[in-house]
Amino acid sequence: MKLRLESVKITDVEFGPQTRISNGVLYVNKEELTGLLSKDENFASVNIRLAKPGDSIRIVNVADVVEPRCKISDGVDFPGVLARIVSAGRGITRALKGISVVLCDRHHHWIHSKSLIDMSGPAAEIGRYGKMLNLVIDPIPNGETGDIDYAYSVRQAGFKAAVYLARAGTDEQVDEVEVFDTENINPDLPSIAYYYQIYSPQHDPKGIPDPIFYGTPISLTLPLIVNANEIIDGAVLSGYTIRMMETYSIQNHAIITELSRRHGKDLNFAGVVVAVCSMEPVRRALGAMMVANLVRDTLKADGVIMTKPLGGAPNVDLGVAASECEKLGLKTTLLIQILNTRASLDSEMLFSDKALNAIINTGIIFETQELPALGTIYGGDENTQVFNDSRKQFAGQPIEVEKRFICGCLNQLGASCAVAVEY
Amino acid sequence: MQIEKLGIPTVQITSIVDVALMVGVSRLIRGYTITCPVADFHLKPEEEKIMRRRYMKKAIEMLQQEGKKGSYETI
Amino acid sequence: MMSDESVEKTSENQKWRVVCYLNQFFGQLGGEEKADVGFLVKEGPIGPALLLQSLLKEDGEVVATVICGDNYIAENLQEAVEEGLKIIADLKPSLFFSGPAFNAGRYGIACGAIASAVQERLAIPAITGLFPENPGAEMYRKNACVVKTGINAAQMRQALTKMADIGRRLLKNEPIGSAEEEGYLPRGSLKNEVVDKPAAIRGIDMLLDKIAGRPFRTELKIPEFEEIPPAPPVKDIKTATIALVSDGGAVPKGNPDKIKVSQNTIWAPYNLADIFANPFQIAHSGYHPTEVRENLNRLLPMDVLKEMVAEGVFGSLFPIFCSCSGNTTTVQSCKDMGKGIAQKLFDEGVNAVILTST
Repeated sequence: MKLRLESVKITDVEFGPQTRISNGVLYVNKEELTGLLSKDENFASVNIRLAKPGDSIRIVNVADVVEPRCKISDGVDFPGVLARIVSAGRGITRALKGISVVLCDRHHHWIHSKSLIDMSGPAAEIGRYGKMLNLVIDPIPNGETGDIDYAYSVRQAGFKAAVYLARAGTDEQVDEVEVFDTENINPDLPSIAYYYQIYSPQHDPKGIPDPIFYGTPISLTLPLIVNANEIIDGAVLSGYTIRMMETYSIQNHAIITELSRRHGKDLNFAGVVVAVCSMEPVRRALGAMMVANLVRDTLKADGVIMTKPLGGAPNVDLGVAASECEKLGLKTTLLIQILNTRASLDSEMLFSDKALNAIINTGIIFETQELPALGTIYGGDENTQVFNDSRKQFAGQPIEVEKRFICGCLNQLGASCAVAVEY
Repeated sequence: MQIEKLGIPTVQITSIVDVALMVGVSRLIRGYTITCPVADFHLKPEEEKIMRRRYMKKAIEMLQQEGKKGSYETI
Repeated sequence: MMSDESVEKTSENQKWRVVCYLNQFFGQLGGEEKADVGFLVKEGPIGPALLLQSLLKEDGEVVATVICGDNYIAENLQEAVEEGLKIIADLKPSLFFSGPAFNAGRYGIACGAIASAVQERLAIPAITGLFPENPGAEMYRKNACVVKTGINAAQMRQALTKMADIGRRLLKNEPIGSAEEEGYLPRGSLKNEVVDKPAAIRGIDMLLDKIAGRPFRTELKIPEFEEIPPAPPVKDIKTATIALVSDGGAVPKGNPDKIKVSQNTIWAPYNLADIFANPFQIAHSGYHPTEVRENLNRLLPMDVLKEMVAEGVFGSLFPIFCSCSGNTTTVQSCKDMGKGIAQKLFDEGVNAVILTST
């Protein structure tokens, strides 16, 4: 599978009479885009706003962040979500770099799954989206739609906007091209597979799974092989209840991108096994065994790097799968996040297999950051509650927020540079 | 575990089995609750005593058997 | 940390008052024969404190050296520390150093205990230096700054240099880096730091090293649990002596051995019959002891076991039970207590153990 990713670098964004790109500036026809997104009856209205680095703007109720992308050939835009299902990962995809689409979900039920983005101050320094141009899609709920349908509408709106913006680019404006092609294997190089636990059904609201794989729910799936190109080309989306794994960070998947770039140089990228966290032990054991078999005998890898979403249960699944891999002689490296600040580097592991001795820690998620009040709030208002375990606090005030809620600060796919260190 | 190291078989009764399993205890009985490992205090005293006896009986049985890591008994 | 106004200075020259603690040997009183000496205070720096003074230069003045014998403290740790704390408080230091004690066990525990008390109860920055395997290191690293030192006094200068440097910065409210960077033992917290490579790259590089058999350093450690094969089963239960052990913290009223309610490091043997006959308490803050207080048999099922002995089910119930408290205990402490208990039971010829845990 070969994917050609063409990028147009955007250095600024403004509203204008016509949606187009000129000299690196993206002009957006606000009325046209608003009209396009307002067609969804689940919205009473749709606000579209711009947020730039340095602005005194706080974006709350962030449900997801998406990079503007569209299919130029050999595929459809966000298959299964915006269009019929056609394989992703082939042909040509165009992306706008330096700008993202931020989706706000004002529906009140999932406060724990919403993040925030500040465009200035400490959160902007530590969160990647505070350093980027953002087009903020902030719909107002009609008040009648249920949580899940509403969340789905927000997602659709975000992707529609992403495609709409990306289509503004022309062939002549492409500054960079990257080809993702990992077909040829060099027998002299070590082969590395990627185990990608994309989801856990433990938070499925009312037991209804989130349709994150080609717009389809896969909460009960056993491990499967998916081409890396598909994953970064829209086949996998972030979930409603998942933080630290925004769609933007899947489109720009740190591990997949790095493995693809190094393919043929110091390693072979053997492929990806996608898995979902099991909810009970028999399934977990079966899944783990399958992962090990797939990685070794089908992908023919020497080692596997492994990531997971969320917290504890996925941790256990990850550990069991990794142990099975090690038993078959595969070397594993795991990316694990730390929960607590009062802890030590040997107290946070939930498994004790000595073979799992190569662990990357991706930072402490409960560590808090104090943030000043900012001038303007998008996605809500001064009275929007911002999650804090010990007290009620509101977006219009100075607040103290755990790093897991600062969008783009920590990332479970390896994009962040934060590490937990002993003090 | 240190006691077992010197060759004295030991049965542990605890309701937090995961840690015991992690540490490698080989004769493990799942305790009733954290606050009351060998009895259910809601029972009448005579019944509670019978329950404690069952725990002790099981413990003594296990002391006479080979230790098995990675598993535990429930009364 | 403290603001400048609250810091006591000796004079207009703005030098901070520093107090040092040393044992009888480093305090130049003598060797083992002087280990029973009680607290004394000498004016100015003595022994290693002289070197410390020269390292602190103009930033601090060692106004006094507090000296005490290792045995005097070791034999009555809690009270001796109280005594020392009062002496130190009266000297009004802004900064406190104890040791370094390197790998000396009693001295290390004394240094750690006093430094912790000074840090926690007087809110004065307290620094000591210990070899990582010194028992005092694990016990006190979370309560005071324990700088990592070499194994003996041949490394005195290096140890004092690090201690002085950290001490000076603590006084000036300058930030102190991570445990690894600065050379002190982790104090039990974790902080996020930003490094140049993202986790994805670090992960792939680490995996390539692991595959190639090259050395690599994990960023998270698995807790260490020794592989100990199960002990063989009891051969003849009818003649066997069974002992009870518990980490539920049952102790005679007054807690004579001062078993701690959490992060405990002490175990003690008590007579089983006595603890039932006399008032007892629970030294364990990790569970509600109401049910156990009502009926100690719920933790230590002595009534049932005695009946079983009478019926001939097994040989005898060992009259002593070993008590400790297992709430948030470190792995190391569990190991140490376990070793102690094991040795005692082994020496007394006990054949089997029933361990109840809360």
